[in-house]
This record gives sequence, C-alpha cells and structure tokens, in this order.
Amino acid sequence: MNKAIIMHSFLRLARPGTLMTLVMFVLVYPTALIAFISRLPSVSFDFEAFANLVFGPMMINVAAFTFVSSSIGNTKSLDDGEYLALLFSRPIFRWVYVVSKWLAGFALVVLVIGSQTIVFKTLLQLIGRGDQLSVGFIDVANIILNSLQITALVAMIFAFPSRIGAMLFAGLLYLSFAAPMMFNAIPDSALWFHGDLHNIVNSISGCLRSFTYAPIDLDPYFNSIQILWLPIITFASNLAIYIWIAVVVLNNREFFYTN
Amino acid sequence: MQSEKLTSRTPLLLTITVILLVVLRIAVWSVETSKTQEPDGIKWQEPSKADLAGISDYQPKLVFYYFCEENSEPCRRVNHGALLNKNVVKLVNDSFLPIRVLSQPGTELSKELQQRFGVSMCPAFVIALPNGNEIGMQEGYFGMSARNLLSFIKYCKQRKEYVAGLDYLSHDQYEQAAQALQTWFQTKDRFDSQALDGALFCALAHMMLFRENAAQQVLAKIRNSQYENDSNWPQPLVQFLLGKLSATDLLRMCDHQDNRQSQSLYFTGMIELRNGNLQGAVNNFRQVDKINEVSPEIRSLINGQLSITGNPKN
Repeated sequence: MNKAIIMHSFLRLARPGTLMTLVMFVLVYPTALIAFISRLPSVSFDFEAFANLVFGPMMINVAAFTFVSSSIGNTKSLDDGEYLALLFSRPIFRWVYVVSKWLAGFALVVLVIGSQTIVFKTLLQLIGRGDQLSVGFIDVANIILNSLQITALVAMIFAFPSRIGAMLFAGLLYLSFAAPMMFNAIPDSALWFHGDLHNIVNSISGCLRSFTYAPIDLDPYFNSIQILWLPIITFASNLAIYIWIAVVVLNNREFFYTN
Repeated sequence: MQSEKLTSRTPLLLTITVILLVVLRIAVWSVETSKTQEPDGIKWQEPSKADLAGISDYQPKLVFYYFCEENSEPCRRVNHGALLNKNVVKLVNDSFLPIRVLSQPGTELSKELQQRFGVSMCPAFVIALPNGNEIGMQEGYFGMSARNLLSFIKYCKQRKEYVAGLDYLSHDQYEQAAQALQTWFQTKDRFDSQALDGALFCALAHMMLFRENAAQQVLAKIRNSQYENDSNWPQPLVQFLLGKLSATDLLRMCDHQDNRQSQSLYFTGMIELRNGNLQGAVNNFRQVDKINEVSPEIRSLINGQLSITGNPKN
C-alpha cells in the first residue's frame, strides 16, 4: 500500500468535473428521488426498493464505475496524462499500485454511497417517512463489503488497455445475463439439440454470473438456521481473483516514459 | 529495465491464495449442490387437488404457497437464503399452512395452481385465505431477501382482514364484513389508497346494516384524511354515501375512468339494493360489463351480488 498513490486518488476528487459528478450523486440524486416520492403519498415503498435505489449493489456498481474506472490503468485521457508511465519509471511495485488504487477507490465509493444514504435518510425524515428506511449495522457492513468487491472488479476490468477492458466488461455482462435470458426464451422443441441444453447453458452462465456479479448480503448470516459457506467463499475468491488478474495484467503492460 | 522487471513480479502469496480459494470454492460448490437432505426449516406439504378449490373453510390457518423450479438458480438462492431465515421459518410454521408447488414437466396440478393465482415466474410466493382467495403475491428473485419476505408475510397477515371483509361483503355477511374491514384500515399507519378502499367498503357494510351513524363516522375519517390526488376522487363517493350527491351526478363525475365507473356502479347498485330496488341494482351491476378495465375486487363483488340476486353473470 502506497500512501502517495492513495492521497493522489483522493485529490482527483477536487477537480471540477469529478466534483460536479459527486454533487450529482450525493445531493441532486437523493433530492430528486425524495421529490418524486413525496408526490406519491399513497404509495408505500418497501425497504428493498429504497435500498436498491440508494445503497444497493447496483448503486455501488454505478459509483465504482464512475469514480474509479478512469484512474486504474488508463490515465492518458486525464489532465495529468502520462502520470502512470512516469510513476512506473520509479521503483514502485505494480502490485502495490493495484492494491493502493483498489483501497483508495473502495474508500471513495464508501464515502459517496455513505453520504448519499445519509442525505437520503435525512430528507426522508423531513417528509415524515423516515420509518420506511431503517439503516442498521448489517446494511453498513453490506455497503462496505460490496464496495470492496465491486471496486476490485472495476480495478480488474480497467487494468486492461481501455478497448480490451470495455470488450471484456461487455462480454461478461452479455454472457452472464443477456445471453442466457434470450436462450431461455427459446422453447426446448425449437432447439436443434434435444437434451439438457437449457440446464447446461444456465449452469455455465450461473458460473460466470457468480464471477461477474455476486453481491453479498450479511443478513442471512445473522438470522439463518444454517451457515451458508458458498457465498462467503465466492466473495473471498472473487476478491482475490480480481486483484490477482489486475496485478498480472498490469505487470505485463508496457509503460514508456519519454521526456 | 532491470528495476522494472523487479517491480513487475506478481507476489507468490497472492497467487497461492487465489489457487487455494478457487479449489475451496469448487469443493464447497460441489458439496452444496450434491446435498439432497433438506435443512430442518419450513415444514412443506405437497399440493393436492383440494388446493384448486380452496383447502377448507375449517382449516383456520392462511395458506403459504411457494412456487419453485427444481433446477433454477434463483429458486436455489431463495431456498438457501430467505427460506432459511429463522424468523421466516418460525412465522411460516406457526401461522401458515406451507405448501411447496414444484413446477416440473408433466405435473398438471402445479400448472393449474399457477394459472389459478396468475403466477408467471418462479420463485413466487402466494398467500391465500383457506377458501383460496388470494391475499398477496410476490414474484421473481429480485427483492426476495429475508427482510422483504418477512414484511410481505406480515403485510399479508394484516391484509387478510381486507380480503376476508370483501369476501363477506360479496356473500351479504355485512356484520362480519364491517368488522374485518374496520380492523384492516385501523391497522394501517398511514391512510393510503388501500386503507381508503377498506374504509369505503366498511362504510358501505354499515350502510347495508342501516347503521348510518357508524357509516358517517367512517366516512368522516376519509374526509379528514390527508389523502389527496389531483381530482380529489374518493370525495364524490363519500358525498354519495352521505346522501349529498345523487347516483346520476356521481356517475357523471367518474369522467370516463374505468376503475371509478365500475366502483361507482357497484356502490350505487348496493344502495339501490339497500333501498329495496332489486331491478335497479341488477341494472347497475350489469352496466359494469360495458367497461373495459374492471378491478378483480369489484368484478368479484359484483359477481357475488349477481349470483345472490339470481342473475349470475357469465
């Protein structure tokens, strides 16, 4: 872990473009959502609806892709342009760079989602519907763990050169979600291969999905009649695989610095 | 160049950790997927033909149907997530008759049950009265966490009074209807659209029992509620029940909106019935046929009335 890299990642937030996006996330979005909800006095939203809109894994995904993606392995488009090439001309271990970027990104995402949740909850309280969203210890722990995992996924995708990273991301999403959904819509009788093809495809896409998107929810671990090991192992192994791939990819990339 | 090579090494510890975790993941996955023994959770029962007709009026518990598929990943997640939650297990075992409907090729019963409750995807939960009247349904994996399932079950336990109230109303059991509907809207924290509907039907049940004072008290609650929308809709219906608006004016105020029209036709028909004008009531009920979109609740209430008055509707 390198303190300078972490601090630099935080300083990037002070740029006008990033600050505006931050304001959109933390202030504008919750306010717009509350304005919409207050127009529907007769509709009761459940906890899950609120959670998904404010601090659920999808929201963490969006925040991670927005704030972390550009600062991992493709910094040419940024104001400081070739800083990565300059950085790697110094004796800095690339795995230290990846881990530092990941941890800085994780802290940023928790900060953004945490602030957004606090603003949302306060505004909800102001319109007299605060009781509909109680954020407890388990929810905070979920935000932290899911941010840790999703930031690592973003670090892995964006450790690749940008075009390959984009194709990898789109390909994983397609194979895990869109392709099986479309395939399942085809009836068995219309398939050229009669057998257990649907199950085979579903198993493969399920396996890919557990790698692409496997948010963890701690609630069952505190209230379950049986300990669930698979989600814990999936979470830990995903985290390690993402970081390992990011390190291997970055180790094999060439960064030339010419003055 | 030499220093770059040195800084570009992947730590051995990280590689070993990844290998170990992947091996562990495969091992745990194979153990968990090969498990055949069910955890000692909800005591499921198999569906029977009796479920299609409504289990029994004598069986006091609500029925908790779980529609699932054997090889479906979302169903597996629900089985190993929300359905293992100890609060869900306790609540379902104590207060419900749990029936698991496994959707398999060749099982007609599960297909018929799915059609009966309009289940279009698995996993799905349906909570119904013992006579088969649906109280609530939740479908799909998203939002199927233990916390949401618990609030769905608790909501259905409350809503039971509303569904039972309408059932009594359609069978002309006004005393029981008024009681159940009163319990329903009084349990609601906020006077939302569902509480409002309950209160309107409750006032109607009191009117049918010629208890004007009780009806007026309920209607006063609706008038004083903060429930508002653009057209101030339920207020004309309240005015009609209070006798301050004629049936013709009420129907004119529905403004060609199907739901309001059908609701008004039912209420005006019931008041005609109360005043002893059976033919007028039947005429009003029959006019609902001309409306495109009628809520299932109003449809079932009108069908109930038409079957009692001897004019069953097809």
